[in-house]
Amino acid sequence: MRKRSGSISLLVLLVLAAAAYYFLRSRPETHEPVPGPVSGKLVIHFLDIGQGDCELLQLPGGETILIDSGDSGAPTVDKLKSYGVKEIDLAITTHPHQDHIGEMRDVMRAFNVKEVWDSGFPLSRKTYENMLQEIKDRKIKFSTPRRSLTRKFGDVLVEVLAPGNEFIGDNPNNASVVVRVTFGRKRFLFTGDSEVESWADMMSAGGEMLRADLLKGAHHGSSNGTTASVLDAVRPSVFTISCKIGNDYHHPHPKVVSLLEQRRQEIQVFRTDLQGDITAVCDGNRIDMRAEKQVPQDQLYLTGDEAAGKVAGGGVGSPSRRAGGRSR
Amino acid sequence: MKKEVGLKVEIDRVEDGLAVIVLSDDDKVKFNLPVKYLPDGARDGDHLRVTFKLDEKSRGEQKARVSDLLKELTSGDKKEKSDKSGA
Repeated sequence: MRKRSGSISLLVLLVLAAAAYYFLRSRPETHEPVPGPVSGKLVIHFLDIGQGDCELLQLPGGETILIDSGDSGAPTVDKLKSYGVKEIDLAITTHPHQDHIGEMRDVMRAFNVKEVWDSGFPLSRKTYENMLQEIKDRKIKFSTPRRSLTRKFGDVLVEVLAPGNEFIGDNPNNASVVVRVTFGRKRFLFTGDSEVESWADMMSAGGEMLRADLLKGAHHGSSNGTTASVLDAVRPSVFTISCKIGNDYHHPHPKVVSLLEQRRQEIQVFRTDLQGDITAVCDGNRIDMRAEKQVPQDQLYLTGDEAAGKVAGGGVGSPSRRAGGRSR
Repeated sequence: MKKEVGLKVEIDRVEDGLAVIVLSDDDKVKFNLPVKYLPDGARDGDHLRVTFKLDEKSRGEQKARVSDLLKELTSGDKKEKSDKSGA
């Protein structure tokens, strides 16, 4: 009798184990922050390298991630050295436009880059070919990550949100590798030059995965990179813009500046064109923002053309057309 | 002496109606050009051949027009001077 009840118990246990296995396996990915306490600090630098993108992540475990390199001729290598970079564990080249990958070959020559994540978008550009050749010559580990790939570096989780398995049309911007970095309770979204089509694709794949505390504004503050629905989906408390003062492309665009100004109570804005290098220091519970240069709060809401003094009423150092009674 | 230089350039991207054009052999050399001056359908990653050729005829014609205008505009000064010296 005892033997029979033991067999039944074993059977029940097996059934429960199987049910638990199937339940867990069928659960959708939650994309929730890494649970539990974290130690150390995650430091993220948004480097002022002119018109382009370059973000340096220094992880609490000592690892280094570089997202993009800025344009050819940008002072990226010197800047990285000044921040104490010795080697790069992972370089992410969001897409093959030169203002994102132009300096990556020089970076690879100056530092030991262990691994590269690239969009894999086959743009017929010599700069991109040169970078790929350098990766090949140096036998750097190379892959083209797609949505839902994740990688953990100690307490830091890196999730790939885009691209999906298929590219969207023939616009390289929409092939941008988008990653969300989570440390403790805080999340950081790096968007490359994603345009509205890529955002729509990510939203349809699961809008909740876009939630982040800090959003690196897509496409240098272009109107096709940030819309009201993007801000609604991400709900950031910090928004950064990487661009050069006096750029020819009107970055940041009046529509984006206006959107941010409407939400100035919820979203803090930082811009490399006005503030130089921008740094976020995160202990897992809060994000402390620092900027190389201090500018009056109202100037952060100048359009690209206004900031450069290209239109009346603008120009850093001149009275803002928006000045008066709006400081935080 | 080179009278003509051919260059290969590439369109890196198009930003707000401006094509960012990069020299294939030296990507630090780049310039912006409104897309309306490019062949229809030009897009990211397209390769273009550009030829710079000295146009002596056009330069000569322009110089003649400018010289004529300067002559015309300063003829009053000479007349004025001669009027003054005659007085």
